[in-house]
Amino acid sequence: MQTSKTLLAGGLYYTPPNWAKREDCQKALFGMKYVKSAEPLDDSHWYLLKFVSDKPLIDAKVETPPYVYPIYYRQSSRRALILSHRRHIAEEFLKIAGIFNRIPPLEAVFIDVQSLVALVCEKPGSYAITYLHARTTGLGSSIRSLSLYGDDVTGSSLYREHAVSLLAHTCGLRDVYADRRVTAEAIRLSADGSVSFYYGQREDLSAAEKALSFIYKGGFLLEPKGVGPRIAVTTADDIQQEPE
Amino acid sequence: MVELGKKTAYLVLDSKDPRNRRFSVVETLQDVLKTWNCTTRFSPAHPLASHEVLNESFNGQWHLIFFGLCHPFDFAKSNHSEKALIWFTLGIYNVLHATQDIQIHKAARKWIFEQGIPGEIWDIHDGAITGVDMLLGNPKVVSNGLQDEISQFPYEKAASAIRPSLLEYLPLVSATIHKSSLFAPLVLDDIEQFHKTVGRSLGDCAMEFEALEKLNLLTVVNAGLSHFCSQTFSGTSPISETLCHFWSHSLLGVGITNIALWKIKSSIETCFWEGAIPERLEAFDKESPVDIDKPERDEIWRKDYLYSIAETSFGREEMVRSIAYYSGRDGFRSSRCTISAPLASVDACNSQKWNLLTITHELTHILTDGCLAVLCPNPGNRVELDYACRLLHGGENCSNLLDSVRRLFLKGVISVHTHFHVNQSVGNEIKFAASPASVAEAVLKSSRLINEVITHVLDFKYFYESTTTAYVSSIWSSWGVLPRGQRRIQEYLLRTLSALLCNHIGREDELGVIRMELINELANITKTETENDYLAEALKILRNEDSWKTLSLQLVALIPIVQLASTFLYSESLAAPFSRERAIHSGSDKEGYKLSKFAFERERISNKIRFLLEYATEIVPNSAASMWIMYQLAFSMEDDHAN
Repeated sequence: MQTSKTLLAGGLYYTPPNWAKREDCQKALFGMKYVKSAEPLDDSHWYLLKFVSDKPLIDAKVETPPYVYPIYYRQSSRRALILSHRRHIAEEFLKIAGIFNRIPPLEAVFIDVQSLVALVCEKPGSYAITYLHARTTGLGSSIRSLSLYGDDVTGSSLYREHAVSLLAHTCGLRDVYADRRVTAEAIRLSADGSVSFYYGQREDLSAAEKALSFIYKGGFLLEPKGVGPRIAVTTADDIQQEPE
Repeated sequence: MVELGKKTAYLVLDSKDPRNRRFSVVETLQDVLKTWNCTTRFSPAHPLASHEVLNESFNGQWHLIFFGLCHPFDFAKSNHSEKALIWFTLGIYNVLHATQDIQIHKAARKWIFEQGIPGEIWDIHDGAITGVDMLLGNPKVVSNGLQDEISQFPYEKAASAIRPSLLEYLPLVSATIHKSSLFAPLVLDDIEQFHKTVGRSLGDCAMEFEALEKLNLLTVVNAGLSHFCSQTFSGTSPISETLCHFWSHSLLGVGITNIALWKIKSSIETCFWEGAIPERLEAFDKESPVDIDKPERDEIWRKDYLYSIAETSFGREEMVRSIAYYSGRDGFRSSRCTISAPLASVDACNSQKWNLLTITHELTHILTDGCLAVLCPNPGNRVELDYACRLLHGGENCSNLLDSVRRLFLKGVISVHTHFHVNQSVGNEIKFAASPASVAEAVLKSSRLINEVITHVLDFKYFYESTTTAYVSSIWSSWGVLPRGQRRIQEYLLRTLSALLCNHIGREDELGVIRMELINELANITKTETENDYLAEALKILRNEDSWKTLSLQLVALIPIVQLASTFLYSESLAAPFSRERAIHSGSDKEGYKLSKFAFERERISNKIRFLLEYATEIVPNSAASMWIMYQLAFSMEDDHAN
């Protein structure tokens, strides 16, 4: 049966080097006075945090204290997914975490969306593109960007004919084996590390993790600044595969 | 806005005493049946939602007008519909207006007259009909000289084999033409066109040559035309004398539903005619050959070959119009000049089981036949068989694109034949010695399956826009009501998987993906369609590794045919008119109609198929929902591309 789903939006971040262990991260974040509680979610590796903000983050005219917002948190040894019902809530949480722990803001994991989309187009496999937002190049100023929606955007002749003129910025991924009535889109991600997906049941978390694993294995998660534009990561610290 | 009441009422005419005919509205079928006599006729109707009158004995003095075709919104916007009782029916006279107020009656009568809508007026006193008058409407003029041409048809000189059938055809087509001119002007041109097509096919009737083929044609034509004429025009004036033999609608007939079916059929015929796909295919002989042995991901499989053919490089034949009708026995079936839908669809077309969408499959067969006539060698023609053998021998023998496509077709035929009909003793390797005799045998034995597979692929792509969920639900729901389908489940699976395959050709593990897709879709349908016995069996076959292995090997054999259909018989650009719709409102993620179910508003649909895909998806048949759908179709605008 179809369950009602909520959009989770936020980002994928590199954890600081001194938070190499999962316990270090959790201690630094879960122990903050701004976190009222942190409970495992749906018998998964995810946590649901109750983040207490000093100020209203949605509508100052309507909200009254305490300003409590959910944070959905999933961590591997090097990266963390931090999501909430709105992206700016997740970002506010990160900002507070940085100040509280006296560390620089966590660095977003840049994603090579352009190469990811190109791969799905050239070698179609277990994922298809359901959404694509791209800037246009070489088409002059008449058109600057476009968005495409569909079951298999890169399978369309429209995309193929114009692929060379498109610089993909955001894309949605669908697992072609999955029941599209349950999970129409596993995850949506942008080149700047923004991540979102719809959550209603345990399977949605697994589907998002599986898609991230696919992206990781393909080498589309770019290393932090200074390392280089794109390096295929060969270690096994992928979010899904990380040993517990 | 005018809204249809959800409860059914029954309009009942009792003519047992011809001098004292009685008319009433009753609430249940039991009420109709308990007072049944040899003259009883009745039709279901739905009242206006704002005053749902399900029982009316018409005591006192009443003025009734049966009229149509009339869109409920058009009548309501110009008349005080709230001051009269109104019922909507499925007959050509689709509105019954009843009032005791003579001024309201006169105003309604004046409006109907001004619109040129035909109708019939009954004065009723204490339930008895005391007076009948006609509103003739504005008939559409029959083409000049057509009736003379029919009357001068050399019937007496016709071959003896076809004379009895001609004797039936000539008055039947005359009746249909003249009734259409009066009661259904929008089909008149098509009927005239249909008659021309029949005339051309009959040719010189005096010749005994091909008399049996002509007899066969006339038999099919007469059956279709008599069904259409009887179903559409019964219940028109004089109502009391035009009995409908579809007994649950014996009073007013089912004209609206025939017009609905006609509109769907005509819009598809127009799309196909404008697309001129077989003609474009023939014009491939002026294009350069392609290497059809290239791998699945090669760019040659992604080009729009049909659209690249210039309009000037082929000629179009005159459009062939067929006759559409309902038949309890034939169900969904097509022939060269007729197309039928099940009678159950009349009152249940809101449900997936009896959805009129299946007609797309039947009409696609006509397209497939046209394409196969270009591609398939005649098994009785030695020259064509020799040529086929040459093409099979090697790609270097293809001198143009048509040769390449024919070669692909022949490879498909051989692949299907060797897999399905030849006992393979040497592993899975295909061993086929191409000779005129072996090619002829392969064509004859494989043609039915190949025709079905091509039809499924084209139906899926042209009409369902390659949308898996809608397609699988639609075809499996319609198969669910076919008797003795149990033994054909394997074939149904093969046909469905072939259609789904064209979305994934070239994808890694393409067969695994479509297997999972179909399992997901069928499992979802079983949650709602508990009465469909075939689904469980189909799922069992798909989930079992051994039976899947058999099925997947059969699918592999069909890949050339799927590639042929999806690359050379389908064109994205030519498909655009099939899905175009002005009444669609779109957003960034979702788009659709803004029609409220059961309501009649100013906005009219234009794309019948798209409308059915969105609205005819219920599990349980419902007569009000079905009537609303039939009205939307019957009063739909002409398609964009036809304007």
